[in-house]
Formats: sequence, C-alpha cells, structure tokens
Amino acid sequence: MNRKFIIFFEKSGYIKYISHLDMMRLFNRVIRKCSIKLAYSQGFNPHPKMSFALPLALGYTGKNEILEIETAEDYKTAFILSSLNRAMPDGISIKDVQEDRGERGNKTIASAVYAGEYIAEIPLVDDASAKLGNITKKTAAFLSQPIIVAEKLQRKTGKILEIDIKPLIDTLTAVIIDNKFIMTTIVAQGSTATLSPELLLTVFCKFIGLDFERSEVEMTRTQILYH
Amino acid sequence: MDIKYELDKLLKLVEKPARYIGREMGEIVKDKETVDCRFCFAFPDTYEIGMSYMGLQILYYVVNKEENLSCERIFAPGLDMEELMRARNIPLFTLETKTPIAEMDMIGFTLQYEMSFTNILNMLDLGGIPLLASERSDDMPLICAGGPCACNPEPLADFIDFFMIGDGEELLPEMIKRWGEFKKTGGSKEDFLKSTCGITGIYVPKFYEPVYNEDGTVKEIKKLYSDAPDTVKRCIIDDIDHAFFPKEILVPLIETVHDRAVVETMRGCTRGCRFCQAGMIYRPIRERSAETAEDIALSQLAYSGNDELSLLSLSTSDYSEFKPLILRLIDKCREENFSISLPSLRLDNFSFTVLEELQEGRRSGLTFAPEAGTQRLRDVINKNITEDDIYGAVRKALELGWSSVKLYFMMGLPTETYEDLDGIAEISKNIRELFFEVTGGKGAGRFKVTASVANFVPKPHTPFQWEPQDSPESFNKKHLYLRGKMKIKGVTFNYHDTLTSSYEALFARGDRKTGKALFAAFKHGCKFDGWTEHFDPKKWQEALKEADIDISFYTERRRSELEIFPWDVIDMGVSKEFLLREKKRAEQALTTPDCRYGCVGCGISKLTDCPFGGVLANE
Repeated sequence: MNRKFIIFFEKSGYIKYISHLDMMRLFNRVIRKCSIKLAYSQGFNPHPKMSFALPLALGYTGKNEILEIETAEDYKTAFILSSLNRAMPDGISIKDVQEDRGERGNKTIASAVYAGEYIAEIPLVDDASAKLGNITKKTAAFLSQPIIVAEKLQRKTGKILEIDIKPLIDTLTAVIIDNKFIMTTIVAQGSTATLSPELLLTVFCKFIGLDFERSEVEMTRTQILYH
Repeated sequence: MDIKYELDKLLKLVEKPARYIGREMGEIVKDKETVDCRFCFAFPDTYEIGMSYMGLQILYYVVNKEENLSCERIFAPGLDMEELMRARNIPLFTLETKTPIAEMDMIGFTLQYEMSFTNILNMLDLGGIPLLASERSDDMPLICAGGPCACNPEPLADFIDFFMIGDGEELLPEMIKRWGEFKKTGGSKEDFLKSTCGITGIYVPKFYEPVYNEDGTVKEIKKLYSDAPDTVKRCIIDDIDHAFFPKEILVPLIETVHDRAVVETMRGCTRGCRFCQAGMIYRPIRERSAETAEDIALSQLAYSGNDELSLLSLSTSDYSEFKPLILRLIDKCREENFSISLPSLRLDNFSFTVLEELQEGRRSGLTFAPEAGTQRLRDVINKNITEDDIYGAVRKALELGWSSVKLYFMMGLPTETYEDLDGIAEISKNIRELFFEVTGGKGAGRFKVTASVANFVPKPHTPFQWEPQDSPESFNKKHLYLRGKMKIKGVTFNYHDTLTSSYEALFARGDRKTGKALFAAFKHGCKFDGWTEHFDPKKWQEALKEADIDISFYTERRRSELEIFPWDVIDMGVSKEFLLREKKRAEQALTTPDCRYGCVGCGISKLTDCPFGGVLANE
C-alpha cells in the first residue's frame, strides 16, 4: 500500500554547497540505503516519487526544508526519521517526518508553496555601521515607495527587465547586531510569483547605501510557507 | 590563518564548490592530537576523476583503520579555485580537516598517467611546499608517490622523497607508521630514508645517480648510498583474497566519473599483449574468491546505497570464478534492484547470455578492442583475437538486436604499414555489411559503428620498450589517410590528439633530465595537460627548450638491445630477457600463448609464486 510522507530537515554546514540535483541524488541514495522502498512513476523511464517542496539555492543554509516522498510500502514515521538520520552525512538532519493523509486533497506541498522566509547576514567593516545610520527608518522609507524597481535579467532574451518587486515582498526588517547587518524577509516563492531574496537584498542595500560582496553574504532560509 | 572562514567565501564564487568540502558518507575525520602520523592522499587531477579511482578507496580505509594513523585527501583544484586561492593566499588544504598540506606528516601522490605530472608540481606549490626534494627542510612533509607510472619514477626523481613500487595496501600503512615512529625520535628525513632501504618496493631516488654517455643514454646507475639495493623489487601481495578491500566506501556528494560499488575480482593478466603495461607490471594473476568478492560487493552496495556495481580486473571473463559469481550477482541484482557493469568482457557465448540478462531489452553499445587492423599486426602485438572472433561476436550481437558497435584501435604500432590502416577501415565496413546481411537493412538509420584510434605510446617494462614512437608528422599523416578511408556511411571515426601522445611517451620513458622539462613546464603554467582544452603546446615547447630536451630522443629513437634504461633500477618482476624475447617474437609476428596454457617464463616466479601458470595446459 503506497504511503505519502513529508520530511522536514535542516541543511547546514559545508553540505550547503551541494546543488538541488545532488540533494535529489543524496536523498534517493540514503532512502535506498535505509531499505525504504519508494514508489515509482509509470512509463518508459520510471523515476522515484520524491520531490522537494521548494529547491534551495546552492550555498544557502536551510533550517526547515521539506521533502515529499511516496513509498511503496507502509513505514512508521519514527522509523523513517531515525534511519534517515543515522545514514545522512554531516549537515543534513531530519527534524520531523509526518504522514501525508491527503489533508490538502491530492495536492503536493510543492504546488501549495507561496512564500519563503530568508535571513541574509553581511559582516560589516568597522565604520560601516555608523555610516548606515538609522536602519529602521531607512527600511520604512524603502517599503513606503510606491513601487520598488529591480533589474532582472531575462534568461531567454538576455535582456535586462525592470520589474516592480513591491507586491512580492511580504515582510522586511533589518537590524545591525554585533557588527553584522541582518535582513529578514518573507518573499513570494512558488509557481505563480517568485522573488529571489538575493535580488531583494541587492535593491535594498543599494537603497540604504550598503556595499557588499556576494561572497560575504550568508543566506539562510528559515521557513517555507504553503497553504 | 583560519582557512575555514576564508574558504566559506571562496566556495560561493567557484564552480562545483562541493569538490572542496569533503563531508561525504564514509568520510573519516580524525583529531590530529590523537594520531601519530597524518597522511595526505593526493590525486593529481580533479575531484570527480580522483574519486572514481578505486585505489583511493582502498588506501583511504587501509590507512584509516589504523587507530593512530590518519588519511586525508587532496585533489587538483579547478582553475577558478586555484586562481582565488593564490590571490587570497590560501594554501592547498585537505578535505577532511581543512589542514594546509604543509602541516601534514606525509603526502602521497598516485601516478596514474604521465600527463598529470605537472599537476603534482602545481599542487605542491599551492601548498607552499618547495618542489625540489633537495630544497625541502626536515619540517616539511615527506613526499612520496606510487601507482603504475612509478615503474619509471625517473622524471619525478628530483621532486619525490621516495617511491613505492607495486601493491600499496600493505606497504603504504607500513611506511606511514614507520615515519610516525621515526619522527618521535627526532631523526632526520635523510636517516629515515636510509632506514627504509631494505624494504621491498621502496625506491629512494637521492641514493642513486645516473651517469650518462655522450649520446645521452644511461651509462650506469651509480649508487650514492651503499646500503641502497642495486635494484628495487616490486612489492607484491601474494594473496589478495585475504588482502584488505573496503566494504564501506566514500560516497561522493556530487556526480563523479564513476559512482558505483566496485569489487576487484583479480589482479594481473595472463594474456601477454605486448603493448600493455598493466599486463606486464601486475603479474602474476591473483584472484579473490567468489565468496569474498560477493560479500564485498553486497556490503558496499548496502553501505553506499549505490545502484550500480562494477567488477574490476584487467580482463573480466578470465576470472576463473566469473560464471558462478556473476550468476549469483544477477540473482541479487533482480532482488535488490541494482545494475551491473562489466568492463573488458570477452564476447563469448556465456558473455552474451550474461549481457542479455543484465540489460533486459536495453542494449547499450557492443565494445571491441581489436587494437590493430590486420591479423599480422595483431600477431605482432600478441592480441589474440581473430577476425572470426570479431565477426562471430558482432553477428551474434546483431541477431540479438544490438544497434551500435564501438571499435578501439591503436595507430603507430611497431611494424605498422598503411595496409594495417586499411584493415581498420575494412573491419568497420565489414561490420556495416554484416548488419545488412543479418537484418536485411531494417533499422539501418539507427545502426552505428564507431571506430576510435589511439596513438601508440611505448611504455617501460613492456616488450615494446625498445621501440620508437611515430613522429607527430607521421601520426598526422596517418590520421589524414585513415580519415579519407573512413568516410563510410554509418561509421564514425575518432582519433586522439597527437601532441599529448608525444609528451606522454616522453615521460613514460623519460630519464631524470626530463624532470627539468617538467619543472620548466610548471613554471610556464602548464597543468591539466591530459585535458585537451588545457594542454598548451607552445608552453611545452618553451619548457623543452629551456631544459635542453630533444623530445625525439625519447620518443622516436629505437633503443639498442644493450641499452641501460633509466628504469632498469626498478625490478617489476618480469625479466628484461623475457621482454627482449617477446620483442623478437613480435618482429617475426609470432604469438605467445596465454600463460595459463603453459608457463612462458616471464620471470615473475622469481619474486613470488605464480598460481596460474599452466593451469589450463590440459584443456
């Protein structure tokens, strides 16, 4: 009897440097190693029924990531949790496993995702914090603009488009703690509208006058929000 | 410097950052305070290639299973990573503990192919370690090397403190242990190296000095330390069934060239192909029992969650227990849903049965390595495969519905003429015709023959070690000629880059003087020379000029039978007399049978028992 499970996990430490595709391979392999039998799709090239609710960009830490699987046999959630945790390499830890009993009808979480919560951290050099001034005021000013324009590269045409990202920002706060600039935001993510937190960070930091190098940003996704 | 903090920034800027992080399943991270000797296994190519090498897996675990020893890993970083590391002064570091390699106790490079030699120098340099052994102080790690190319260690003699010749799974941990103990006594590297001189398989280049004739050939190899052995005998593990083989393996987090469970069924080969170095330097045949092999295979699959298993040996179907083993594994692979890949399978009837079972309707390409285009030339190289063998197997494959055939040939073999090249085109054409004969032309659009031609590189410790290599001009001419001949519908023709083959030949049979060219090439920025897109002939030509090396002396010169070779100091077990005998038989196109049908006197039995000599004599 096929069963559906939702696996909540954390991805942190060096392992954040493996890609979405590598995560698929890893979970597939570890599930196999734990002798958990996944259900397979029908067709010429059957693939295991397993998908992440929302892919996480390479280099991002994920505090509460979601994987949905369908198994070909019945398993206890506690068994899945403990055996996956035992087999996973350092950096992936399974937080919770729930059985999906069809509360959302036949919809997957992936199709119900509408937003993601992110924290971006940038270490500040000595006087940067003073120069920035009142961050809270600046944030309010940023958000009160009638439109917030961001430049986005359109992959297909190679053209740079100007878009209004304001409707895609749900919440945005910024603070400086221990000489670290910390931006926390909930942005639209999912099939209908998506805003990359990095794009928001770029536009926001330009507005408040903070220069940064991409390699200095520590990006963490703390939540995936779904209906 | 805190590498870990700096590294985090770099990893956000480079391609495939997971190459540099470690943290795979199976990784072993030890606290440096708890071990006596920290060893660093160095693979002089990218992570993806190095991690596909089974030898790494064996040595990694054989060292780490010793409680007081540790083995960490390094690979050649990608060009983007190297650039950033150099710009930000980050030294090459190990994956396990992110330790700068200069802080390790011993670093061991595996020598899998000649064109990776510049990467060795580049990696040492990236680690802030002086390249020349003579310039390294006692507080620098001991640098060693092993692997197939160590059978002619001379091009690397100036850079490496000691070489390990032969099987490494006992010798390497032994040497690491010894160095750990010796370091505690506060002794010098020099004294340590002297103390290793009696150990089978250890070659310390600084204790020898080649003296050259005026014509550039070796006059004699002078010993500089009287207790150093006259010749270094290869270290051989007699019983590989009881030798260590990992049941747990490192499982890469990113895609590598081969990502699968691997069990070595046998070491060595009895066929005696005269161009093949592996067939000479891994003698005699030693087998792992089918039970042990099966146990290892299944354990590895269970540990790694891999869905592919490969059997490793020089000739899969020559393994005496191939049939029972593969039948059992086929049963298992149905139950547990993994696939099996069988490299270098000889295509007899049983093999077809096996392939049909394994592939269940999904047929990949059929692969053949006739190596030469005519029977005469195949006899010269002792490749005991006839045209009947080829066409018989292809016919069978076609009847079973296979739709592609891959053929491998070599060009520039000793005694080769244009007739032999015509033979390559002939075979390709005949297979195409056979297809029409068997199938009546149905599916002709899909049917593909691919013929790939590699350039022959004469290797040391083979019967062809005396032979000249074709000049680049001659290779080019032959490629052009064959390209014309190979314009056959449905046949694809591939050939190898000519210049890299010359450099491969240079270092395969190089002496210590060629090490200067290596050094100069490194200074010019040569690296990843085995990658066509990175190989830079201009830089190499400069390097040769600076080192005063005439490459044709090494590549195109026919050696006299009396010549002393730079690698004569290494005794791989197969005698020079045997190789010379084989060379002469080659000149007369006389074959030498597989030695399981009767001992051919290769000389290996002087070093160890040869369990398979003549075992099939009565069949």
